[in-house]
Amino acid sequence: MRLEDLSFREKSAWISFLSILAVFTPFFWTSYQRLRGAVDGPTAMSTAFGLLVVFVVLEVALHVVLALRSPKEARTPRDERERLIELRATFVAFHVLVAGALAAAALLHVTQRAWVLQQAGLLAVVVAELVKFGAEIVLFRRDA
Amino acid sequence: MGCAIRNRIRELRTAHNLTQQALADRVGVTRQTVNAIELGKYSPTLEMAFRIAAVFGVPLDDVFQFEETVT
Repeated sequence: MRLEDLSFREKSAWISFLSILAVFTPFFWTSYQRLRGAVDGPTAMSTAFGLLVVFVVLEVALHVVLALRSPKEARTPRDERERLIELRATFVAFHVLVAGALAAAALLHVTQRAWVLQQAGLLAVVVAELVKFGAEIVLFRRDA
Repeated sequence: MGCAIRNRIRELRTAHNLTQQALADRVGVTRQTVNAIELGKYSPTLEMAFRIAAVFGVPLDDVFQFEETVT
């Protein structure tokens, strides 16, 4: 797989996938350690919002670089195959999000801790996004 | 009973001296989508199929053929 063989949308999906992974993996690893009692105190939600800002800045910066490298493709709207890929990926991610939301609700009943619900809810959203971009990448690769 | 849509895009493209990118630009899709159609990995909508046929100036069934296969 050569970088120049990838379409703009596939590169964009890779950027989003890797950005989410890079930003949220350390956050949830710390949360996990706190849940196990290895670290004191709950992870502050302000940290999550801070990471969200870092994620947005990273996404915007990398997409600007990508758009500058291929301005024509960046201006072109998604074609029918790309729209279909996005729809299929969103369909899969939706079910992951629903399962994650139900798991978060179940965890609240088990642990009786609002912090766990916060973390599990955020984790469900992040995993659903990862699944969406991951599914897009898989579907793009399958057609290549 | 299975079915497959075969196409002659690569052959017609070569005959018209068009690259995948040039065909993609004229049809309004990405080069990767043209490649996926050529390889039979993606079946285009009827609208796009007509647009591809129009680029080559041939009827639709000169570009795409529907084949039913017994599996």
